[in-house]
Amino acid sequence: MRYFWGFIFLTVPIVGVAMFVYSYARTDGWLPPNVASIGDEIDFLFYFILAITGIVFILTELLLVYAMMTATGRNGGKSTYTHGSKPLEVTWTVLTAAILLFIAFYQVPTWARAKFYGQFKERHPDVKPTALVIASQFQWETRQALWDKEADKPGELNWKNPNFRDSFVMYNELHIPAGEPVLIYLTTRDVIHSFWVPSLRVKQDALPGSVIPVWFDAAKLKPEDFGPNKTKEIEWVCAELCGWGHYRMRAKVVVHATKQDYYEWLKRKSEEQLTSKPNQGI
Amino acid sequence: MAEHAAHEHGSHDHHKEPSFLFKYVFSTDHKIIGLQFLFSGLIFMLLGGLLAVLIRIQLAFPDYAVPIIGNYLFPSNAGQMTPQFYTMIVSMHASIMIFFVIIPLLTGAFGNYLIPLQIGYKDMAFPVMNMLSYWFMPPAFVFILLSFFMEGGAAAAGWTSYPTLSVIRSAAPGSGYGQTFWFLALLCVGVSSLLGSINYMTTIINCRAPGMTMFRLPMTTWAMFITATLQAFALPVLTVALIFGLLDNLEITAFFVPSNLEANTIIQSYPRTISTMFEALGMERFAEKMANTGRPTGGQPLMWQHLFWFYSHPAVYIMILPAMGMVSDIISTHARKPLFGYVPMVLSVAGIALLGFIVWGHHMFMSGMSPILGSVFMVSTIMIALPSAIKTFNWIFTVLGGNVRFNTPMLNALAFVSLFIIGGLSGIYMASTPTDIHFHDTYFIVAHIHYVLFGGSLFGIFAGIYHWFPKMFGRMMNEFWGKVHFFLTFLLFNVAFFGMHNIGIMGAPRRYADLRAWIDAQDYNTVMMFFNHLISFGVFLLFATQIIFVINFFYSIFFGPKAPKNPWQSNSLEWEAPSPPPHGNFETIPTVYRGPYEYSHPEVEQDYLPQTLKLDRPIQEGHH
Repeated sequence: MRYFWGFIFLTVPIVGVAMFVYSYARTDGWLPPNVASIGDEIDFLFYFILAITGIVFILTELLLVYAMMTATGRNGGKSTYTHGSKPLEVTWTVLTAAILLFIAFYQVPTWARAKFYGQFKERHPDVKPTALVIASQFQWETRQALWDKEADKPGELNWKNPNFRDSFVMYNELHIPAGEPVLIYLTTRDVIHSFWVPSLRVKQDALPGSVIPVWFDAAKLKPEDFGPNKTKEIEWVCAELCGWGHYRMRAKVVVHATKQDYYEWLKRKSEEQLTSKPNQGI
Repeated sequence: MAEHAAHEHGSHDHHKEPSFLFKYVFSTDHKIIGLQFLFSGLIFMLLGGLLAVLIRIQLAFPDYAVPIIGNYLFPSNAGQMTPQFYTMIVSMHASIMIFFVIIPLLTGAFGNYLIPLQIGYKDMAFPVMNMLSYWFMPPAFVFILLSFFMEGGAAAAGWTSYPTLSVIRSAAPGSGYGQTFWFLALLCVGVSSLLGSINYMTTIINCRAPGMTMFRLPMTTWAMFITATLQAFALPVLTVALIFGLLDNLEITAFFVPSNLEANTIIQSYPRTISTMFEALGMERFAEKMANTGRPTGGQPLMWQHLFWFYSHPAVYIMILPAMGMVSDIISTHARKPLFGYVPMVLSVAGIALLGFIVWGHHMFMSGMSPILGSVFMVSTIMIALPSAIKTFNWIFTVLGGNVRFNTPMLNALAFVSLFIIGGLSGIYMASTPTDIHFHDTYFIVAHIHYVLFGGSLFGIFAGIYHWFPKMFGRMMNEFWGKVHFFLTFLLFNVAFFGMHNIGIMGAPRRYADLRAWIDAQDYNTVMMFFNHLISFGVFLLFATQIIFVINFFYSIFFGPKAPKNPWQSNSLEWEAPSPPPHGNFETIPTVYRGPYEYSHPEVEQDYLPQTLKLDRPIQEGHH
């Protein structure tokens, strides 16, 4: 009987590893394709944790199966009489603690790079917010500043009180240039939503009553990734339950191949806005 | 106080047998109260399971009418499930399973039944309060069941009920009276747990039998003791949050609703705000000043998350620690081997409980909480894996070199260990802030919580039921059908939930009513659809398998073979009482001479040594 049950318990590591290998092999690397510069670090940390937890998983499951299969009461039909082993327990406690502490502190720099606004500002002091992203049930509204003709550069986003004279609105679409760090301000009209672009490795809840800076880049897109319009569309979804239409809050980030292409698009868009009637603005 | 109550109760024993109403309904007997929790928990488990089946029907077949009930529930939608209904059942599946099944089963049923028996006492310290702790549950049952019939249906803001979705009545169909009843139901559950936990702590501290030192307690009682402490400290915070939420939901206050919901874009104040209060008080300038800072001036939606998780993260340990305790006892008993590292086991339960209070922020890494605080929570959260790992190693080393009896309680307990390893390890991915950027709110977290709460807690509950059933009902459960049930549940559980890791890694977001639409847009949609269908069929079969358990359970209550006093040759005190124990439990209060894990002692003939057995010569024993 112990072999039968041992085998049943053995299916857990076997099927688990098989499922992971299958989905890794069938999906070209499993995680959504990464196009962000922070993505390499995050993906590396994922595989790093996967390696450690995978080894621990396989070893402990096998040890459990081994323990089950050999638990036959070898001391004259009795178990080994022991209440524990201090050296063994101290060893595994210290070892586990060391590994866990290493995992924890090893990841802090990546987290800081991904999320500490101060660090971002230090690295890119000149980056201005390109868009105000306002979530609401169940759509994403993006506001971008109009092209400033006099200065011949994108206008400054008046995010505190934007209006149709200085910015234009789009729904479920966010345009960014490739290769550049992009800063957006994120907020919501009604409930909590979450800004998630899997391929950019960025996720941030939008909080009612707060405006949260979010930054990312699409630095790793190659020239051949862009379509005939020299744009690449990336999926952008809501990740926090925001009501019955949560599943419908799917949008796209449109990456323009170069900064120049992005500026061209912005100019075109501003032209449209200024030639349309004002009351169509908001 | 305790002695006074005990005295009163003691004198009660000599009175004539109480009537049926007071013996089985308004009972002060901890065993009856435990069984009341057990039966209501199992009934709600059936309801929660049905909701899970509905969820998986929608996720696998969003284009088809729901079989049987579709045409009655969704006549205007051609029998197909509406997304409104989906968000409702997702929220209610989790709320019911957590607050009405797992917590009441573990602390309510097993805690009540086992604590007095394992410490050698005739009842709880406060029997009447114990009765009240159960009778706060039926109002909760009524509230939660009634909420389904409110206009808009039951709460649909997730089991976490994040404001402002849950407190603005127009934000979700269920955020009207459905959500109001959700708050009320949880308040009642909270009071019930609080009364129970005070009782458990008092009983374990004051009412132990002679010789029963703290470090001679079985792990089950230790775990219940620490869990009760956790509950007593964490529940007041939840109660506060629930009252705030309730008042906000009734549009009386704005604890969680910021003043200017249309933040900084279009000025349109939410009616009930602190700034409007200022205006009413003639403090317009101050109100204006606050409104112009760009910061919220009214309530703070994040405050709910802090208050809620300050309870609900410890609640995750409330849902696993008692199961860990029970599994420790069951593994030691059926492996016929002393528990490996008893004192470290106790200390690691205490360690989990202590650390459990400083890790709540890991639910909020992406919430807009300061990321610097996030890195602190990351370190504390990852460190909680240490006591969990110690416990796992100890369980495995308890089995190693044992003389295992592969019966149903033991198999379920071993499954707990095997599946808890997965649930524990997968937690590290979310505890790590950088990888949580990807994994937060994907199916990976759904897989994680099911491996911990189903693979962990529920297998622990199954193990506990199979193990203590002879004591509870005086009859044995059918071993063959128990094994069939275990075999199918164990395999189907992995079929149902392992694939969730995979689609989670691929980025499938949770709580999507139409997951298929999302999957179709992905590059590798065939692989994801395969897993999506696999999960659904796994859940359907897993649910069907539980019928075996239900039949075995009820058949055995009436027709199972009569159980002896100590069917598993176990050491702890509950097996010294008759099966089932009468009112008052023990004929005489037992005296305890040793710890509960003296199995296979080389100097004793038989392979177990009950805690109450007085030997005529001293032998070398474990740690006591």
